[in-house]
Amino acid sequence: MKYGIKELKNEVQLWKEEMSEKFQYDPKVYMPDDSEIVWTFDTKEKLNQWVCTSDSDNKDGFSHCDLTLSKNKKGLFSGFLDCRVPKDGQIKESGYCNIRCLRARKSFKRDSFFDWQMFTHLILRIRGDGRSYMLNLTTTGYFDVMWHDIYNYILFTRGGPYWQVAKIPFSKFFLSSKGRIQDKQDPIPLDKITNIGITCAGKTPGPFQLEIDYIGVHFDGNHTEEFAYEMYNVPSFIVGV
Amino acid sequence: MLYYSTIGPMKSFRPSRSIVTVVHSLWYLGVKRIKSPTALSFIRVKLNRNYNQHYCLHCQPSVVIQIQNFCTTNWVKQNEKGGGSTVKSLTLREEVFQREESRNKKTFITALESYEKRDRLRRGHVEFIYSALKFMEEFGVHKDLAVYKKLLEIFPKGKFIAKNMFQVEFMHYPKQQQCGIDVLDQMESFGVMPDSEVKEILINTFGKQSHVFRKYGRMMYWMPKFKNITPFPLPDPLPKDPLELAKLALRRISVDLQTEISEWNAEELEDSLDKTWIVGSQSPLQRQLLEQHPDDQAVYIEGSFIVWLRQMAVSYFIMRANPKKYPAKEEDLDDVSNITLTMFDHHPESKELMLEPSIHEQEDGTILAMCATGTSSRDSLLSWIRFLQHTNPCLKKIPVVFTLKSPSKELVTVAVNEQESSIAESQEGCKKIPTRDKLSNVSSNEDSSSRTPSKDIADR
Repeated sequence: MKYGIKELKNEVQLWKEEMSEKFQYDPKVYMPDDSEIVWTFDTKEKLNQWVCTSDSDNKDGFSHCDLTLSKNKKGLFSGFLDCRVPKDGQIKESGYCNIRCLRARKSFKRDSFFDWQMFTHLILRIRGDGRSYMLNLTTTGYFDVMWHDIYNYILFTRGGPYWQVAKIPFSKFFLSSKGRIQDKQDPIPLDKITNIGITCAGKTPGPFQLEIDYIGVHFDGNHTEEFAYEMYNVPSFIVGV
Repeated sequence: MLYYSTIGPMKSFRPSRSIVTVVHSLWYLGVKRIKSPTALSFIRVKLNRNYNQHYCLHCQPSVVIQIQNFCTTNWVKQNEKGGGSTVKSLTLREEVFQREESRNKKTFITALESYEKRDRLRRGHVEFIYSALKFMEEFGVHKDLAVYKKLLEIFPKGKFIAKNMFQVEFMHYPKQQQCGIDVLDQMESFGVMPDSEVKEILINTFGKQSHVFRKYGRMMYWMPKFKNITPFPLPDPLPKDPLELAKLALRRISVDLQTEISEWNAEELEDSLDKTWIVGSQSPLQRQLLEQHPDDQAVYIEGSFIVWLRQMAVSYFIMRANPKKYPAKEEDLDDVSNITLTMFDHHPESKELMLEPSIHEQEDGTILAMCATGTSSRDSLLSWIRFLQHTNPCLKKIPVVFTLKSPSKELVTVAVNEQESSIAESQEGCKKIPTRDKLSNVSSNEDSSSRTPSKDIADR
């Protein structure tokens, strides 16, 4: 009961802020070369906004992973990727670890979206170990076929002790669903993004680590590409089936 | 009527008792009279046609072995000459591959060709292809396009091509098409890009409307797009020599374009214990930073960190100094208490100028040099410092502290899949899930399997 009242207080506070913003109507205007840092990994509370899972949690394998605070007060996504396949006759390949942020929320725990329509690039300041990771921008739709819509791109890490700023344009993200690239592609709807995630997977077993300083969005005035992949008209019963 | 015997799982159709007894007796008669197993298996195939549909189309060959009692096509007729007459015996299809003494491309292709020659009608080709797929990695041919083409050519040509739209829609010959899809899937997961010859084989085998061909189309659309997107390209294939790998790794890690990669050998030093190669990287800027480093403050050697070059892990060490703290001068631009009146010839205070911090000065430390050695031992690092002292004489005075994670204590162990040597073992193995028992110690992956794409993408 006490916990409920505390939560109610917080939610009402949030709601008040939302209403005041709505009536003030002073939206942020972004100029070219502006960045907005959306997630930092300074404190444990911020790390609690991320969920860390691996295939062992889904009984699909034996990898384990963790999202912890490193010595430099940065987020450290590390673990061990194990590509052994559990012998249950159904799984063909195994070995994945994933971190994903909690869904964007409005007051009173209502599901919301991240609105990044002003921006052109996703930026991450990371220090990886040379492996490549997969970035997942989930855009869960209303209908069940769209529940697993994820826009992906690969995050290549240099490895080594130097920090790296990866700047990936949103136009390069391609649509996939349940792990399969879709035939009919569309540019990412930037006002419908629900989660962001980073996956470590592959056929090379071993330890992995990715230190993350911040994840943000960037507006690059010179970027004119709308979508990197072709959107031809294709025969309807052959493609997308 | 024979097909609807009570052996099959069809429960809806119940033939009358008399028919059942007749059929049963015929079957038992058959069992009793015919002794050679091949003929019996032929009868079984006729009676148990329904079982084919109970194959899990996505199942592993290990499950196929489980139902091998009914799956007659897993057994292969072998002619063995003994005592002047040929003895026909049965061997498990997988043994065709397990029996080969050496595991290489030549023996794999011999096994494929022996199957092709033995049976003109290509009985059980789907099961054979699945067992071949399973053994490809073991034979080291999993990234060889020519071998995949040979595998796809095992499919009989022309038979599976759909002739009307209903066949297209209902996945004509689904088991064979699924097998074809699985071959292409394995190609994709190992990053092998098909070519136009594969296209011809697929058109001749399955037709342009088939699901296999659609998968080929998807592969040919997406794989070229992702082949060269990496901003850190590496040679293909990667060199196997650890020295070359270390050089590649250090070049990749070093951000400064002026970095010089030097190669030394500890044999040149008399008092070194480990006679190994040492590869070091340092740029002129780092040398300058080291000269500016005060003599009383220590410099730390940290390691061993891992950098992955596709599927090879290289461990490297860094020489790090404590981070330089720049004074943070916060100016309040809105402060109007002390404005300089430039119109009355008052000059504003000259602000402190400083050089922009270099790339090596990071927030957790200044990186002064990096190295990789053959043994990654403390002694080899000592030798590295001795070599560095030639170009950085200040290192003779600066105290050097080793803060190493000793690699021998933190060996990374990866359990390797046990070989399924017999049917009985494999049947039990199917039920067990292997625990995290360390079966083999591997400190760096040395096999040449390429990285799989995560989620259907060729990751190069």
